[in-house]
Amino acid sequence: MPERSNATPLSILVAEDERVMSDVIRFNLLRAGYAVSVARNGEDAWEQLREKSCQLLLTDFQMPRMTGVELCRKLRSEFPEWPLPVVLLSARGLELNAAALQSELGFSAILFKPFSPRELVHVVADSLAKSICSSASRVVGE
Amino acid sequence: MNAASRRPSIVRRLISHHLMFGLISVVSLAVGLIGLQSYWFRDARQRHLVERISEVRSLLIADHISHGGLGTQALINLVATEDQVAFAAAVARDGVITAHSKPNRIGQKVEFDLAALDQDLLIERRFLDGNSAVAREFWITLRAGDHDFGAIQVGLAPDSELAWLHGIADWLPYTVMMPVGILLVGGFVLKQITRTNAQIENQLCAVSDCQSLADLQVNPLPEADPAALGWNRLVERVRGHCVPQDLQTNLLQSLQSRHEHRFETILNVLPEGVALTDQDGKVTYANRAFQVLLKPFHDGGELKGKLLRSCLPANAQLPVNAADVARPIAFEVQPHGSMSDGVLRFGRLPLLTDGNAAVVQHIWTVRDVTQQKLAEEMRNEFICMATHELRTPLANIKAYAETLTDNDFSDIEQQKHFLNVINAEATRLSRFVEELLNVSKMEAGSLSLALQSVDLERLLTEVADKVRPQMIQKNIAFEMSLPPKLPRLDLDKDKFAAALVNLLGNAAKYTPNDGRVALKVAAAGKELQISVEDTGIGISAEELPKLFTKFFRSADERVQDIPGSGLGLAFTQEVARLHGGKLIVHSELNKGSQFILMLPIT
Repeated sequence: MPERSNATPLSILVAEDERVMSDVIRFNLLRAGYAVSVARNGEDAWEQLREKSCQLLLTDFQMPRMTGVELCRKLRSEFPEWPLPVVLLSARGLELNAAALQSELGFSAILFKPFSPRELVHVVADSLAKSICSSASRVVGE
Repeated sequence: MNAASRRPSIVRRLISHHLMFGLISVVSLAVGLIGLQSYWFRDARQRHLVERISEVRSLLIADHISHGGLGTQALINLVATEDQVAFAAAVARDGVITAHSKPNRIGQKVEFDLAALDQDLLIERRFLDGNSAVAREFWITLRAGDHDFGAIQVGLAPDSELAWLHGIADWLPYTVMMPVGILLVGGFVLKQITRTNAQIENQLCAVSDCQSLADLQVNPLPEADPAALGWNRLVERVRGHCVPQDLQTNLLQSLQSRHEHRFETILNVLPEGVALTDQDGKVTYANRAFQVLLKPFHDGGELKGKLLRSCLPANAQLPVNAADVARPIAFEVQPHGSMSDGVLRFGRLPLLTDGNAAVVQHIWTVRDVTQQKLAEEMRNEFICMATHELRTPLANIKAYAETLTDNDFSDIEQQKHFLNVINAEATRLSRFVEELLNVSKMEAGSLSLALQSVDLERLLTEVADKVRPQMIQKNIAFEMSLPPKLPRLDLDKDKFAAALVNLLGNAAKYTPNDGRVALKVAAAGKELQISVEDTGIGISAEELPKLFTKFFRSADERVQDIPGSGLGLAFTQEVARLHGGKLIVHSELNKGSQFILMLPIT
């Protein structure tokens, strides 16, 4: 079970406007042992992000008032020193230039809908592991 | 063909032939006349001589009778004075010359037998004389009745060699000089008559000599007759066609010429703007559409003569390679910043003059592509939306299904809930696919009805059941009021139901939580009215007319937040129309909307 050293579960912020989708994502992440908070739109997500209480952001692309990409862009520009892993969910498929987005905004992964929840959990774990490792190595390096 | 080898002009040849043949004719005529004349003359003279001789004979006979021949010599001399007479003699019966014009011959004897002479006949005697020339003599007797006084001998002079020349000399003025004079006058008149032809021929020779028709230097002929006038016009026309002109001058000429006025007319009815600019970028021609389209962007007035760049919209940006004047370029401008306020598409083509690549003029075109762009945008939005609307329910189905298989559910209710979600999403997906199919049919104009007798009440109840979950989810109060007896109608059950679901679904979608939706059915005479009212976000007056167009979605933020294809109302209206009815809407922004579907009852 992925945890922080002091045994509090890792917290994931899910930004998804469709209730049906956010429910199943939440279910799977909870089952996997993470703490989950849900935001219904980009603005709501931003408010929660600023509290800096999550270790990973899972965001849908298509959201009212602010897309997932815009949210990430805002995050990177406002908190450049915070290497929060961001996973993007998109129904866009091939129209999205995945490689460009990953390099430009530092998405750790992009998942295309329809997706497998199994895979989602795997990707989340992976991203978290990488981010913990890199922050650990920073600590060691100092 | 150079001048040296050139034959004399046809006119000159004509005149010289006229003179030559005329002259020949005159000369031969003259010769003939002279010949004829001398022959006739000789004959006349000879006749005269014979008459004279007869006269003298009578006188001689009378003289012999009365005077015994004293006057003989005198009379003989008289005869000898006649033309053609070489000598005259009176010869006695015995052949001795008694009188002679040459006195030394008197007394000689002639070698002629007078007895051979017939009494009254004048005979001509020809013989070879001592010089072997032909000599001619007339002999006539001097007998009268019983008297025989001998005979007269008249020797004729040989024809003089030059006798005929005298004849000519006499007649020269008439036989030769006058005809020649007349011929010359004729030649002169001929020259005058053919003068125009000669001039035309000269100009034709000039054409054959010159290298290029454009360099032709000829003066117009004096227009004394229609041929000269016609020729001048021809030359002018040919010259006009051969002068090398640049394409623009030609274009402008054809635009301005009276005969090609229709090109200007054609250009002016085009909806596309067309203009020409010179090498400095100044407008040399602009058709009506061009003037109109660019009117808002400059200070008014004619575009002609103005720098085109300064007449373009302020935010127009030419592409980077526009500096290369030989390249065709195209670019779009949104003069007012947004696409819906207008998009103009400009094009520029180089118009090269032949050979001289440095001097480049341009053809500019401009077209209002706003409608196209908006249609494109709507289509793109639709495709984007369609992809999303297809993938989302699929994603949900997959996510829930996989979660079910991968996990143990202690709570059976939760399991059921997941399965219900899958079911609902599948329905959502199938409804959307149905909508897509209907759209493609509507686009193709092939939407058709499969009519069957339908119990309206049952249909309405089914429809209400379908949409009720949506209402419940948003806590919307849903009322239905139906009249006691609803007729059976011939309807396409599926499509009609879909249309009603669309109206009710919209009402639910666009009404915020705790709102109210009412379904009212009323039969008013020949018409059935099905009304769906809501207390939702309403529709603005500007958007109301566009509401039923395919792919239309309101620009209102709240509507943008709600997923929708923009096809539902178009479909519903089409269904109403196909059933012989119509769909109307009343709405007030922020208050609510009412959609009324009217059907005829037969």
